Amino acid sequence: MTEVENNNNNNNNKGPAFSEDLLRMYYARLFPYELFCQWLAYEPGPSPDPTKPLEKLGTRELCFTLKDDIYCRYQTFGCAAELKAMMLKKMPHKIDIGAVFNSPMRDHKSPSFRADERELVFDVDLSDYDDVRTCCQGATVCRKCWQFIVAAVKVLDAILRYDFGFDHLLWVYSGRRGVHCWVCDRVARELTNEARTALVSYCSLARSSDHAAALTWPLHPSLARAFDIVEPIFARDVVSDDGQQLLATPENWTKVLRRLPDDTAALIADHWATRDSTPAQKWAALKTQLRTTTTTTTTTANASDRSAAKKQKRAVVSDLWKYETVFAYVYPRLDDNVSKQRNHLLKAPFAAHPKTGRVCVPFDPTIVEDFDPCAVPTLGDLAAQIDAGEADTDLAKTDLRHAVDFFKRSFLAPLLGAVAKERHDQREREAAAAGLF
Amino acid sequence: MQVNTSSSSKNSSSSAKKAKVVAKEKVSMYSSPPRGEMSLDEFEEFAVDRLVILRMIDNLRVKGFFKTRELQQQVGPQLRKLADPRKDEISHFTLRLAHSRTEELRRWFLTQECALFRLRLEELGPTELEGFMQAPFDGETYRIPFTEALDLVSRREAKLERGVALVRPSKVRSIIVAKFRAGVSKGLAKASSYFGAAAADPRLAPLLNNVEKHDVSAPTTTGDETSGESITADQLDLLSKTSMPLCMRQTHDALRREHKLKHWGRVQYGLFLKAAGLSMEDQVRFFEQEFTKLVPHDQFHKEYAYGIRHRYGKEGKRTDYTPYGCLKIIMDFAPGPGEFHGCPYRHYSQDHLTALFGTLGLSPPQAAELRQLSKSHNYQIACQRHFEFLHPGAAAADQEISAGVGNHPNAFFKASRAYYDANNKKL
Repeated sequence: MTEVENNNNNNNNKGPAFSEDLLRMYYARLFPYELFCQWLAYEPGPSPDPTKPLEKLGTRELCFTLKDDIYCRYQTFGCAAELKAMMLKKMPHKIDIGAVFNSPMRDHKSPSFRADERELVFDVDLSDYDDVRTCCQGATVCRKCWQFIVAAVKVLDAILRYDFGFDHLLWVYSGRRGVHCWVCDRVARELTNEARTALVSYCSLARSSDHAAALTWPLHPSLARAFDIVEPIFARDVVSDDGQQLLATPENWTKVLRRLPDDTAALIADHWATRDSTPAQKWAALKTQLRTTTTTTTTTANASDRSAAKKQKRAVVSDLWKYETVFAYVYPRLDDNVSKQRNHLLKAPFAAHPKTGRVCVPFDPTIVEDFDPCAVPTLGDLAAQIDAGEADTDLAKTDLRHAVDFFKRSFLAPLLGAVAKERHDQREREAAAAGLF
Repeated sequence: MQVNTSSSSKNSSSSAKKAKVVAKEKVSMYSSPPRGEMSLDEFEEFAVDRLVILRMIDNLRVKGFFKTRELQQQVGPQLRKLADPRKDEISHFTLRLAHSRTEELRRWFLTQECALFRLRLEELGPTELEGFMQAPFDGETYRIPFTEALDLVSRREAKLERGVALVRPSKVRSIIVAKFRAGVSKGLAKASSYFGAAAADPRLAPLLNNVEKHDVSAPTTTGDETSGESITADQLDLLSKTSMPLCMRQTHDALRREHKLKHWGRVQYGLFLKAAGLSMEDQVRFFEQEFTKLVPHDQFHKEYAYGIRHRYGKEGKRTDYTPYGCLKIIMDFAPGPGEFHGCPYRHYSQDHLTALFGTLGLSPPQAAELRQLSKSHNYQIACQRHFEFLHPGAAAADQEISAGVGNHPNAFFKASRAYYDANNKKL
């Protein structure tokens, strides 16, 4: 097991992962200020002059957390050069992004000061999975429990794209044991708090105290799709011996069987106690068992006696059981308070996590299973790579270039393209309207 | 005064068009205020008639009549008073203005008006409802931007396709209510900017203020839940068993058991304790005593003590926060894993409640009754009944004392304290 907190690294760098000096190096030589500002300004076109103030930036809140947890809220900057100067001067250990407000930050005490716009954000954190993680607890994370995050990313990504029609999703590793998602489509940025609350509720499953969601027929298409996405992950990484071992020991599988009708559970437990089978086989058998119950029912349902009706009812319950069980482990668990309010702060992409030194790097959700949180460079790694590297620029010498490149090509370019198109369409409409008179 | 007959029908038959007009006359969206002259007497009379109905709806909902059908039986006969569209509109806009002054009043008015609107929609048939819908219809479902169908979205009651909710005609009422709610909410915000000017008119001032005063007991949190007595931290274990409603008792037990409490739990319980008469210093000490079993003292002071002082109005914007009422606790965020705020009757599963009741010393029929009330969404009645189980003879003895029980956790607490005081005196 590798622990992110142990500051291990794949680059044989033996120094610290995070320190004031490393931070100064990072802010002076690597932090991608211009891309960062282009994003938050939603300003298309060729790379703007880094010293020219951009319109949308002036009312956007940044919150710096300095050494010893001193919070500085309502920081603003007009352009990339200004941001760089500010960061080098204050040396924030943590950087959070807030909302775009309706007036400059100096008015933040005014009663009319309010958040006008803000990306829709999500936060998934492994510490919310502690009751189902057997490998790690709290702040630690390994490849095994990272699979819960993989499942969450895939389900949420599908919901946001297919159900809500959002295209500009920025997925970011949070630097320790979770991920963030920034939804940057205009519609998402302009959602009211009320709409955010409804949207989050759509994405979440209400859970009772034992974490099992009570589902009802017919299953909503979004949940049916989620099941198809996460069931393979459940079978591979939750039940297995080299995963969370849910069906690998009698002690663990008793927990699973407890939620089945008594007679069925006893039957299965007896069977498993006497015969050898792999956890994967057990899960496959469980699913077949439920399917068999269902099929028997459909054939006997023609004989319209009472017991058939009863059986049918039970079969339906059993089939839901499959969904409820899988979802109890691998359906996304969101920290929903982060998503509900426009003015909630969230750690900025490309900031470094002060506890691990790891950079909050954007990643590609379509290959999230290949993302290894333990391989994300720390500030210490980056410093070592700069010292050893021979490329032209500091960035090109380091592993950070992949994340920066991904951010620029796969997120920022399409986003700014969409903003440009929106403006173009708007001008066309205005021209057409003007032509009418 | 204009009656809103401007139907936006484009391609419907003339009979359908007529139905739409009828529908809009019967159920106004109140999109523009009436114009014309009227007497001051009429002005006041209209407003009071409507206020009586809104308060009646509020009272019924507090008692647990959430279902539209149940409300209809009770309120239906009263609705005749608002049958005249002119009176209906005038009274709505008058009360809208009168309730625009504070956030609390605005929220109260919006809630009751939406309930009233829903009652009236219930009377309309599918064709009439269609009059309110402007979205494309493909014979099976309306295609509506998801932002206009939030209610259905949040309960996963509509299929979504790239940001469009596919809504079956049987579900359109919720869409229409959402539109109504948004309109009135916006209108209230606008009205609040006129309130000053309107109240400055000597003819209207007494009227507007009278309307508001008339109403003062309706919104739940007006501050008089404060117990007036003071309590100390070492009494809390005992009080949690004798005098706290289940929600607070749960939170208290969780804090003692786990030595931690997540944000909303701290807010909900902290404000309750403040209003129950616990001093700020005592509250800081009490939380410190628990939290520092897990975290160092300096971390407690850095991360948590500030929040407590904030809630007492000693930090930040120095607002003296009011404790949460039942409605807020019930409607707000449900507790997630490891969280203990919220209303147990609303947010806990039946299994969880059963286990919980087992620890409360309730008799099996009592536990069954509470479970049933929770199941049928009568959360506040469940809480009232629990009060009665804990305080035998209380409801009969003093109606006045136990009136607010089931409306506000602090009313529960206050009533319980009064009950024990009275009984001690008798002894």
